[in-house]
Amino acid sequence: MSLTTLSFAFALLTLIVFYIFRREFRLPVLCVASILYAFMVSKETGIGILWISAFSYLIALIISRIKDKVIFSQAVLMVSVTVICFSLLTFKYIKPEYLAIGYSFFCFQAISYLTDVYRGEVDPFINPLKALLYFVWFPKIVSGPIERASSFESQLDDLFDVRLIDKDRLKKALTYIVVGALYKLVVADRIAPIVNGIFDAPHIYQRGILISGVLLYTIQIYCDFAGYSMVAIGVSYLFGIELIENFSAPYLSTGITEFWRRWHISLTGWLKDYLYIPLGGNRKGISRQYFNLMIVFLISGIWHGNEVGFLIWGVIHGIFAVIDKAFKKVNNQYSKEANKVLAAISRCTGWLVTFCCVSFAWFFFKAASLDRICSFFEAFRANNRAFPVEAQLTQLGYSELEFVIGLAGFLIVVLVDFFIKKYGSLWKVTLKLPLMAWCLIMWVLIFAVLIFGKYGSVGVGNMIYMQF
Amino acid sequence: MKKEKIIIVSIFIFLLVSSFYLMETVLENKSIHGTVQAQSMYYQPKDTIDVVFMGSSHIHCDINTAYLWEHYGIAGYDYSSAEQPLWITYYYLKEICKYQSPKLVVLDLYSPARFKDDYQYDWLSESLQGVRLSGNKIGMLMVSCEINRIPDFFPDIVTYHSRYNQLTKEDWDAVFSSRREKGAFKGYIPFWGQNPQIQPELDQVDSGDITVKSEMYLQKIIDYTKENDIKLFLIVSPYVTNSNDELVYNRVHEIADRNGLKFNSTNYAYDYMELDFKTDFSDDSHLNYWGSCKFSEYLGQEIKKNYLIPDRRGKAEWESWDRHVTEIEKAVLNAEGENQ
Repeated sequence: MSLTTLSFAFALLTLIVFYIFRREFRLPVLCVASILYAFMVSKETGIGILWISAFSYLIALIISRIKDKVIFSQAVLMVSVTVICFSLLTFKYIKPEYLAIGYSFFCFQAISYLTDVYRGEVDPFINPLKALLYFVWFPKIVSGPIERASSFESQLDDLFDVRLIDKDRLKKALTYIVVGALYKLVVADRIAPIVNGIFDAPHIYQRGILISGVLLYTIQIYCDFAGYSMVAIGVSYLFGIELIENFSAPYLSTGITEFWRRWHISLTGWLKDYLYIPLGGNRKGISRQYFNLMIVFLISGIWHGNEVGFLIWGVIHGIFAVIDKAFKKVNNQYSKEANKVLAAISRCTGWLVTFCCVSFAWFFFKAASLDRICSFFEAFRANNRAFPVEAQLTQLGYSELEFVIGLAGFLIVVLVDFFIKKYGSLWKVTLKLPLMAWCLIMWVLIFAVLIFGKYGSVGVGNMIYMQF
Repeated sequence: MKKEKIIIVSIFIFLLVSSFYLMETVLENKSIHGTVQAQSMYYQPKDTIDVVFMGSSHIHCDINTAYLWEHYGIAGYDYSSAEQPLWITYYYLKEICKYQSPKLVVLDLYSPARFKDDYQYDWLSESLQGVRLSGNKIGMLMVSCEINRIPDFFPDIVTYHSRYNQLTKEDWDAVFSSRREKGAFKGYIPFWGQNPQIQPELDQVDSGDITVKSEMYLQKIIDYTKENDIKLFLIVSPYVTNSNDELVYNRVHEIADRNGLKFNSTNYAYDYMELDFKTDFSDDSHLNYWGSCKFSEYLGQEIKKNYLIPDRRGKAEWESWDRHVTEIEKAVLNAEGENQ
């Protein structure tokens, strides 16, 4: 769900209808609302999501019916996954004008569903409305998370009993929506024009600003995507449907492997369960494990687009992951002898190295094309000092007030992430707060978003991950 | 424990609502080109506005409501906004009729003459912001704005929330301004600049060039006033017109005749009004204070001559117009003091 006033108005209207109508109609109400939302996003999105839903629903039923015939069911699965991947490749690279927003996420979800049915891990949806809602559920349409059928379906049976005035429902929903909006609208969208300014014309700027641009993008992409994910979780929870947490303080990771356990969790889980493990995972020796890791990250890079920057980003992360695995093997041998101080130093160093490596990789992700990558490196080499720093910052629209607001927002993000890492999730952090403290924090954050958020006529636009 | 939670949550909700109101009051645009005119309308004593002047900034710059009150006892209100298209005027008319029972609507036709786009965004915020949320406002928004632009203008907060770095003393004073003060404002904004202009030659005999949307809404305004027993007077307030604009005015004249309405393009009455193109214009589109007095004198005569508008001077219910005159006199003294 995009973070626009129109989307929020839509969500509010759906909420009212959901709770006013008789409970038996809740499932169809959500299906209709979600399909409407998909078509509001774009015609292609509506058509894309309907075709994937219908296709997956039917194939799952077929696989389930013929599951005793292993070869046939395997063939059906392989053909259907091929069809889905083919459609994704076609729309992404050959006919991009017909690409549905979030189509990649629909495809991943479909592959996950069909594979789980084939493996017997989940029963196929019999009720077509449940199947439909699993795919089209509007809070997650635009950029996921990639839900698993097992966890999603079990919640649909409880839809009839969902009450708005529930002990924790409003509190959790409000927390996720407000914090997510802060991440996205106050921090990410505030940074966006500066990052774009630097990357669009790097030759104007000196090295310090160029490096700042990369670091700012590191913050931007996280706050953009994590913010959106939190809002999706919050809106979804208003209807009694829990979505998977997609981020868990990834920039506080002390190693690349840990980073990928905390970043875009639903995608990482998907890659692990449907690519890495089928390739053999770590069960076929170290060399094969490293090879599998490289394949996974390569595909992850390519999935983002056909620009060389995405490929490099994927390869870099693959190399980092392999090094991390190798380093951990060595490190484990000495962990028994390590004392607390060394452990602390190790963690700090690990954090710094991880953050720098991730930022470095993000540069290629943001630059994307070979031209832009080369331009940026050339600008870095040239280190343009023709104009003073102040002039260069003015060129970027920098102002002290905006800097202070952005910094304050960023510090809140760091604080929230710190507690998320400590307690496990934003909801667990919230549970630790006394009610009065929660109310005070919400009051401050709500007005921070309302006043300093970049929306309306000063809005930046869609989320970064919508394009994937 | 449960009681304590209820109290805390109630205080939280109260804080949220009151803080939102405070934030809105401070941050909202106090544009003198529409927003304050629309806002202050709600603070006028009920059913006291006899003549409502509607249209573009030509209305709230050129029609001196203090002058009309002082000299003619006309309880008038400039309910206008910059470059206001007729579709917004239509909804403005419906809005004011919820709170007032005007006997006469004086409608200036500059906007349809000069602006031809079916969606005009330059001053849309100013037109929308002062109007309270209602079905009428939603209707106004839907005809004024393409669907994909709605998030740029609605709800109002999307247009003014980023003003935090532009706040002035006026914004903070708004927190303390009273109903009484707002009730004394009648929409008129005097301009003080004096910029000599060239008197135009008027020789256009053809008619046309009014857009379908403008003509449709002009007819809707005409029909609405007829249905609600309100007199309608179509005018063109004086400015430096041109032959393209005159095409439209000639068309409006035809529409007025077809509907049995009076139409007065006062651009033909410069000499009668004794408008001085050297001293009475703030720019080529707006009269200054002195020009507005002359035009309002002329308009007052026209209104009194053609419509039954009572003289409300001396009546307790209309005392806000007396305060309005005092405010304008203060503004004149300040302006004259600055000029010296």
